[in-house]
Amino acid sequence: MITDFVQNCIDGIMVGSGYSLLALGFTLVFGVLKRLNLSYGPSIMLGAYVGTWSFLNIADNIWLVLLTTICATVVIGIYVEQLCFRAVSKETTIASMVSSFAIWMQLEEIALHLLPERTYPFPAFFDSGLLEFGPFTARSEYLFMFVVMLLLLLILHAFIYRTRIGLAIRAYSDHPSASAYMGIDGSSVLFLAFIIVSIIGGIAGFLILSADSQITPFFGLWATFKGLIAMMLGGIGSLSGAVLGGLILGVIEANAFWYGDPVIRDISSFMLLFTMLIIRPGGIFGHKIEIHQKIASERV
Amino acid sequence: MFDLRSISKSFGSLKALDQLDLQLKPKIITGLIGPNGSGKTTLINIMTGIYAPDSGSIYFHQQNLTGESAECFAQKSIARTFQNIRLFKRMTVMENIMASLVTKEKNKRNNWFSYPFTRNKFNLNKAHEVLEIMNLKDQRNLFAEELPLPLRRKLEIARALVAEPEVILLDEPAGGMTPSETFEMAELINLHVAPGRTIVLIEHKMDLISKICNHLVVLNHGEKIVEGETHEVLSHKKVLEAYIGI
Amino acid sequence: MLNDYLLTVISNIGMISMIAISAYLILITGEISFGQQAYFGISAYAGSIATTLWGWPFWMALIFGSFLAGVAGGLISALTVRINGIYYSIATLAFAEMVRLSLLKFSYQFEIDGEWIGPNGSEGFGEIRWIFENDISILEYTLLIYLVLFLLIAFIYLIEHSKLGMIFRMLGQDPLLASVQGVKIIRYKVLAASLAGFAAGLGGMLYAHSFTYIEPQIFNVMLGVHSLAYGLIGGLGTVLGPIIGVVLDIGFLESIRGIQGYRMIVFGGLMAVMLIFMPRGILDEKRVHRFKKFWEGKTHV
Ligand SMILES: Nc1ncnc2c1ncn2[C@@H]1O[C@H](COP(=O)(O)OP(=O)(O)OP(=O)(O)O)[C@@H](O)[C@H]1O
Ligand SMILES: [Mg+2]
Repeated sequence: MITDFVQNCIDGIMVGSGYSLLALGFTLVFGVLKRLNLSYGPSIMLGAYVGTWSFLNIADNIWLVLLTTICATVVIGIYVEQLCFRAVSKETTIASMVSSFAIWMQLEEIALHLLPERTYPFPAFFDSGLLEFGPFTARSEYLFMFVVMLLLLLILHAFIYRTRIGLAIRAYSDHPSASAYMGIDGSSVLFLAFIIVSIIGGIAGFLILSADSQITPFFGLWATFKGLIAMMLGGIGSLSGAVLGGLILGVIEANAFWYGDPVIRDISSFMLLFTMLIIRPGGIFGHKIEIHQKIASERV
Repeated sequence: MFDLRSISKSFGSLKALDQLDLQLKPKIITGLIGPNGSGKTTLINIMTGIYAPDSGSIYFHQQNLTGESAECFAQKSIARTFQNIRLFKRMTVMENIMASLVTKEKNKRNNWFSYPFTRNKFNLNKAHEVLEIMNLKDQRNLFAEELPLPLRRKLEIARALVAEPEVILLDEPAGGMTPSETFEMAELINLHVAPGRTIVLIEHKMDLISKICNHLVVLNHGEKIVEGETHEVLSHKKVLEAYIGI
Repeated sequence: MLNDYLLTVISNIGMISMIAISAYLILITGEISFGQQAYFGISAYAGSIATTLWGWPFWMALIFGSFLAGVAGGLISALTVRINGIYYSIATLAFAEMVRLSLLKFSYQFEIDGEWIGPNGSEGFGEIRWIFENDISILEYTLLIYLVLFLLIAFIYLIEHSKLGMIFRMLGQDPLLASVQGVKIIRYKVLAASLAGFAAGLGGMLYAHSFTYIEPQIFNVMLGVHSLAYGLIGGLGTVLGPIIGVVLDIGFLESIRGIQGYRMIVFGGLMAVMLIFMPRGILDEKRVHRFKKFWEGKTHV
């Protein structure tokens, strides 16, 4: 009984580390832009499609797949940044969001042109093995994903809080116009943020898909959903919050799936999200931001 | 009428207002001055219910309004302008003025069924009157975001006026204006805004203050340091200290 | 001539317009809802249960379903008044997905003429036969849809030009300023959300009876995001905006069937480019105002 629960939690953390990776990307881009990039998941999906395509048509080399996936995701990320975020005026946040949705539709169709079947195999990083720890088990590729996720969190954290570029990003995200007076070029910050986020996305997509060993066009929607939920659970704008949010989402899902079924799994994660947004909108671990009404936080 | 008793308000560790008492005298212009960050705007925010004070109480016509919402303050016939101008950007000048009439008492000519709202004769007449007063007639079909700054400030005042409030709180109505625009604003306030109303005027421009205020209150670090007749206050030692920092 | 296929497209435009109007109503009060499809779905199910299982008359079922959707919209809005921006958007998304997933578990069947009829989880809800039982042709049903749409547009148009419309726009542009002018924000937010729920509900119930079969998957987030996009393409300055958006989308996509397979590439790109130049849509507040002035100038002469 209790071993089941613990095993579920382990599974949840393993799967959840994928959510955490996606949430890291979401939280960075939302933190900097203050606008929602709906096409983040689909960009990763298309990037991974390019990866699969190179696997099928060029060479059976896992490094090549990793490289093409990341590069393609970066290129798509830049395309989205230029079209939906740089060109659209900053005050109209909805326009950017809807525009990123339009691009989503575009990306999905491009993916279908690239590889028209419904599912394709995605190469595994290494031969999957079941690691045993006493009564508990974990799959090696998930464990690997977990470790990579933690490493990425550390690197990102160091980058954002210890480097000059990180400082510029934080300054811009805190107050774009004030940072401009300090000589920070907003558009290069945006550009850079999109590149970083796309690299994270490429890595996330690669690891998740190679653990799943297959790819479908639904991956885009799936990734956007899981990343968003995990980000909101952890609290917007916090890197460790994003990671924790992802892990919690994973654990909840794993348990709900074990004791219920896939539908119950999904309902419970949305229920958790909804209740949390009402009771504690700042996220489980987010700072207690008062966003009751704009009024409370706004200088008048 | 407006009666504030030992109001305090902090933002984090910063005490923006500290045990402040203030009684407004009816039907005169009270100037509210003080160095930057002394808590003037915060005081007005408390007097319009945007912030609730941490302690102390607010009475308006002997009625306790402490902790009430901004809507409630508005319905007590208290209007204001903002230091950082706030207008409905995607509405025209005319619509901005009409918006201010939306919640005014539902008399026969201004109820839910007076249709269409922006063509309602009664409201239109009122709006045209204020537009005339504030010299905004020619701009009435422009969008608020297309106006230059002095006209935006005027529109804010026009919007307050049209609701025929008893009290108007003006937060730097001449902020960012040239001397001649400031002069025009002083005339407008003297001629059209002040008569018959209780006014609070925040300003840094001493010539404007001395021209139109009868009574002055000086704030520094959230405390009231001096209060009295304008000419007396302006030559008061403490005021000079606070401003010039001797 | 009007063949059945064309009629289906036209009636689709009518029904989708209703959910687009619903998303538009939330948009003009300043929030973005990813969840209007939930109200579309709630009413589709409730209305169809009423006609098919309870034998209610069509109009009563239409009102019942939409009313239920309106109440749900108001409730959700009352629960979420404290949050705004992305928090509100994600909360509505979460609610809509909860509704969709619950419908996957929802089963309520009666035995009618030896057949089990009614919603049954992921198998959906078929045999919504009101049209056939009453011998209503596609043309007649399309006219009925447009009658409802016309009434809805007229209603929203009246609201927009009344005090209430002014209040909605005030809320959307600066809620703080609205409250300083005495507008009770929460009350009107809830009211707008109920109206929006009702509008989406009308569309949903009509949709179910037009296709005679519904399943939870129809009411997924794609429907919601599309209906948001319609308002933004067509313009947020008038209730006709979302309808223009729907006509452009469905009409355009249908008319370029020749380049099947590249439609979204073309359309998505066009939409993104358009939003750069018209971030609040074709008929935004300014263009609507100019158009009105122009019109007045003409009629006064
Ligand atoms: N919402 C807020 N959050 C945090 N601090 C605030 C807030 N509003 C005001 N303050 C702080 O409170 C102090 C008083 O501010 P206030 O705006 O009342 O000053 P003021 O007298 O109007 O100054 P100015 O002449 O520059 O307009 C300032 O130090 C300001 O930074
Ligand atoms: Mg101030």
